[in-house]
Amino acid sequence: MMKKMMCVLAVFGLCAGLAMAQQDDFSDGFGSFDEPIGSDETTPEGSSDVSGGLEIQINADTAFRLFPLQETESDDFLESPLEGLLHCGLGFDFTAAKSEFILKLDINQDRLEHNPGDSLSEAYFRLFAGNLVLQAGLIKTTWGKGDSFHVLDVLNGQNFSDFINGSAMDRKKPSLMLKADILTGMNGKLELVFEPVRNSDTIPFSGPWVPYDLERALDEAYDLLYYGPAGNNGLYAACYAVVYGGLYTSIYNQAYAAAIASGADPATAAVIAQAAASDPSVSALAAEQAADQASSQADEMIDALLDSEDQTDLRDSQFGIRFTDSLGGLDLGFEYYYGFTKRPILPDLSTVSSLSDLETLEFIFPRIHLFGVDAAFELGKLNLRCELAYTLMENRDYVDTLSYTAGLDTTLALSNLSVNLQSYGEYKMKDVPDSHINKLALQIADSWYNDRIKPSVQGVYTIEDGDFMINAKICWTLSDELELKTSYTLFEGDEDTGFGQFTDNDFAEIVLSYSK
Amino acid sequence: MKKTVFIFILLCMAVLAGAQTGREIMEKCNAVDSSVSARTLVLMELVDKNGSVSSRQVEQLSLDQDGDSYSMIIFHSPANVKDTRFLTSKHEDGAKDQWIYLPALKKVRRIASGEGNSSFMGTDFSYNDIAGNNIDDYTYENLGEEQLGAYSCWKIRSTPAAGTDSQYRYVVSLVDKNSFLIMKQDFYNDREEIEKTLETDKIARVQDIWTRIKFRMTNNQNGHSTMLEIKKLVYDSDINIRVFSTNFLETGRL
Repeated sequence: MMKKMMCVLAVFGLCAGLAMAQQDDFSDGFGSFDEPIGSDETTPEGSSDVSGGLEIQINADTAFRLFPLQETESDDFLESPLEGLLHCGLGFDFTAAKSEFILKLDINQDRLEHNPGDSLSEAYFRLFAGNLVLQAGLIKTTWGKGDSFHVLDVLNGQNFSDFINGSAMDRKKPSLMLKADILTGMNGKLELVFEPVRNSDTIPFSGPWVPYDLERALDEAYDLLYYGPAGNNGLYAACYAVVYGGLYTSIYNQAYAAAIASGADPATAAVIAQAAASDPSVSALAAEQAADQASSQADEMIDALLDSEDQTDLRDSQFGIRFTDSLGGLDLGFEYYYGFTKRPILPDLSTVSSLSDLETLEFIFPRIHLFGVDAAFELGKLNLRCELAYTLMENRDYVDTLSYTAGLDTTLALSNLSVNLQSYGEYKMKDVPDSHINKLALQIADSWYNDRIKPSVQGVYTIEDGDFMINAKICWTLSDELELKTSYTLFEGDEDTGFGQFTDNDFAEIVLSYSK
Repeated sequence: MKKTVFIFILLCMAVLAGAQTGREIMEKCNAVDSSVSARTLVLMELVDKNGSVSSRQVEQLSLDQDGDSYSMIIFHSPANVKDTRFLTSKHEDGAKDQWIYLPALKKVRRIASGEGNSSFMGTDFSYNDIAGNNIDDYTYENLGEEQLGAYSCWKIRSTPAAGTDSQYRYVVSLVDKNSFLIMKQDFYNDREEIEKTLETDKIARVQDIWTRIKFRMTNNQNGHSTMLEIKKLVYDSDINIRVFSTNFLETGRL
């Protein structure tokens, strides 16, 4: 359903964009630029005026990742697991004087194999009508001023299938939205957003990047589902009991009838039948097989639940409003969002006792009201940015959250060295387990030979758990079209922590990127 | 009588010297561009010491209004920098706001003046070189005259005034006496070495305003240079002030 809507919208947007493009006169939107450069000693060479029309961008990259710490049958480093990834992007920009249509495709192997529809990265129409800018379609947008962390960027879900890599924009999932920007003054802007359907995070349930908390929650959920709260109930036990009970009755009846037919009295026949029905090699084994089969079916249903697409019911629509402006060196933003948590909560599986019960299950996305404010300003040589959000849960059974991100960046008087330090905090407003989490991110970057070589080191550290990730990277610009990135990423920490769970996933990567 | 003539000559010299102070010459340099607005299409070539060239097409729009000066720089090509936009607002009180739009992040980012000394988009210009300085940011000394090819020039030394954040210890400029355009500038670092050199290759009158049409900044430390050549230029074109807003920065559209 969702994919159909996407396609319909994309086609509609394409048609509308083309129609507008034909009606408009393909100027650049802010006046003519046809006057000659002058005379005298000048020898102007033609014109490269900014004009409308169709622009196509192509980018492709191929990446190779080596996981040297992952276990293999051989100790030879050269036989460490090697992963090859191929990615291709296509962008079409139909531009007219007062409108444009943007279509972006983001194709990679995994998407083609599993979710080809996700290859549609963005598809939207934008109309510029004076102080009003209207956008409709599948859009990725950024709210908030944070760098490494965000607490106000809530309009788009994220795909965490490969969350360690790629840019924040790459991880974002496009969201179907209608967006109106009302421009107020020189830098003021009021943004109104309506999202008719829910757009949630995509969490990997298999592969190398399954989040540990989700993995643990799933294990617990499976235990609960199959074996019940006390280990003697649940779906497995129920299936076992049903099959066992059915077989027992069937075998008992057959044996009893046979004994009577052979002349046994009813009491003797009952003893014979009970002995036959109680033979574990027959009924218990069959019941076990049936319960296993039910478990497999349950696994498939859970998988289907995990893979389920975003909700398309209009009752799950969302709304956001944001106002930003610049006042005397201070950039300010205020935000309100009425929507859902992006990350699902697993439903209560303790009551499931049949496959039909399981069919009715859904992930829970609690409704939230998010109130936020952000600011950016300079203090001496420092750029300062911060975001603050209060998440009020509509269902008061859930706990409200206060979260923030704050940080600074500056350049040093040495080469082109820059330092970026960001902090992140999340606090539950009740004394519950894991009621707070704090993280620090530090990036030190430089550029040499006029940005042709850009080395950087980035680290993220979780204060409560003591786990961390460090990524060291060098980007080489080979030409305007070609870039080569080499990096090494390591993870450290206890196995039940966010980064520590990936200690065996340290990897070296080489990426060759092309853009035109 | 001799005494009177001597005093007269001294007075004349003083008057002449006063008319030719370094500051006055630089003020005349600043006054050459009498336009209120300008729109320029520029070919930018980044040339490394081995001669390999990387080209960019850049558009610059500028406007002076109500004592404030605005500048918007837009990168049109190549693909890896396309749609990057850079906005500078210099206010009458000397305050300066700078923002850059990063298309890959879909984000407008404020830039502190402390970042002004770092390289602008991989060129040999720093953010501050691009944004320009106020006349009061430097003190000026007239070092005399010097011939540069066909151009007879004033030689001016500009030293950052107290409180000015500059990556240069001082700058020595050659100013064409006829057009009052800067024909050459040597930028000295703290070790008093010439770190960068700006050379003007071509000038012209455009709409009766003397204009540098082609010039190049060379980094003497690594041999890399950035050449800028104006391909199209319109002075006093009707530029909507909303072009110089963060909203335009984000969309590139009005």
